[in-house]
Amino acid sequence: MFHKSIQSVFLISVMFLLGASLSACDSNSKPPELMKAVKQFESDEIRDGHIKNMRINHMDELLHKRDETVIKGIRTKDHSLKSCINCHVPDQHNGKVLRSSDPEHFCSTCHNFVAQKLDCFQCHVDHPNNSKVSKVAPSDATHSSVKFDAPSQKHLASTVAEAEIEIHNSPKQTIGEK
Amino acid sequence: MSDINSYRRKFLGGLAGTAAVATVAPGVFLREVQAKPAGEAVSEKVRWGMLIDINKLDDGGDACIEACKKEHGWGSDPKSNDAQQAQWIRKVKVTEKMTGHEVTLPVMCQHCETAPCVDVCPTGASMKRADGIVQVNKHICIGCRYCMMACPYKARSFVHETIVDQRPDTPRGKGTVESCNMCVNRVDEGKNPACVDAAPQAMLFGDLNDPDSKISQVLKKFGGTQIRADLGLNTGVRYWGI
Repeated sequence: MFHKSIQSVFLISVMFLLGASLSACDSNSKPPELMKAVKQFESDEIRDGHIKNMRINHMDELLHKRDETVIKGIRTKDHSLKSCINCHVPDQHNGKVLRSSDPEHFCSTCHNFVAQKLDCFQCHVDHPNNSKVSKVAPSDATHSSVKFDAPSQKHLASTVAEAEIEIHNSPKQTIGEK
Repeated sequence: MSDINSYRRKFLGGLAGTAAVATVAPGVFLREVQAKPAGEAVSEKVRWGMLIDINKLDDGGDACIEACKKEHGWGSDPKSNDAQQAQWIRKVKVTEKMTGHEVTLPVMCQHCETAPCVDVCPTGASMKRADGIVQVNKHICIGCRYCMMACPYKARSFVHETIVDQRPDTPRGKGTVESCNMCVNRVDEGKNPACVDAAPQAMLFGDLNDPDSKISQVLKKFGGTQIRADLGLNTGVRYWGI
């Protein structure tokens, strides 16, 4: 009898402690505050819709879009990771480039909170990387506007002149003469 | 020999005259090559190809290589040694033993029609887009490097270390294989690949399926050599001067 009452007191205190710690957890489980996006939507309605959709579906949207882009070459801005980054991650934060390893990074803030591993940035750049845009000569946006007439004979001519050999028998040297 | 094989043989053998070009794209006439709308999927009506006149490349392709490095951000991975560095495009010097005649040519992924790297890939990561561009879908690449073994052109590289600050249009990551993707990001916008813009006097980019494109016309008129044509891969990259 005495044993039983000790047992029940012990059980009740354990349950009380458990309950207390759970409620403590609960009070701490407010989602973390996210960094404000660089660009803002035109209206609050669009923004709220975006937030509502993205909170639940961003992983599916990105997964769908990645295959569309890589396999089919569809490069619209909707759900493209590049667009997400350009809007949600600033160029600089406190004078530094903000990386996915920083807790303030838009994606990392939540992913750290829910202990969900973030793989995207093993390959994709985690901040807008426009500063080092390639400086290749600008293309005039057409694939076929280049002047390109015939295979150059310069090399052949000099070879012939120097070596004074007949090239007619060598199939290697007559490619350009078809 | 099946119809397809005989057609391909004709095409490969440099005998590609009017007959071959006419068969390439039946029903496709006078089409201007331009940027497809961003929301439209790539089409198999197009086959992108490239022609390189190595006699007009005075630097042997150095400018192209630099442009490629800038565009895609490879070649200076800090912890990789020389053998481990990625090489999307490289200079190859070929010497004919008897005459000592040397030619230097830039070699990259040749964008084969029947690509061995696509055949061997266990996950489907090594893939050919509908428009003929061969690339690695790094999302599903497991880094097994079978494609590196299979490629006769040594075009593929493996990324050995953690990469940061990638180019936004060229994700690169440790444990995946990569290679020339003919600048898909630029091509989808209607631009030329970076190397072609860096050496416009020697390189030409265009639609091999369109008989009216500049590249088809000059290839029809003058032909174009494939590297290792004996393998029958029908490469999308053709050369003049080798």
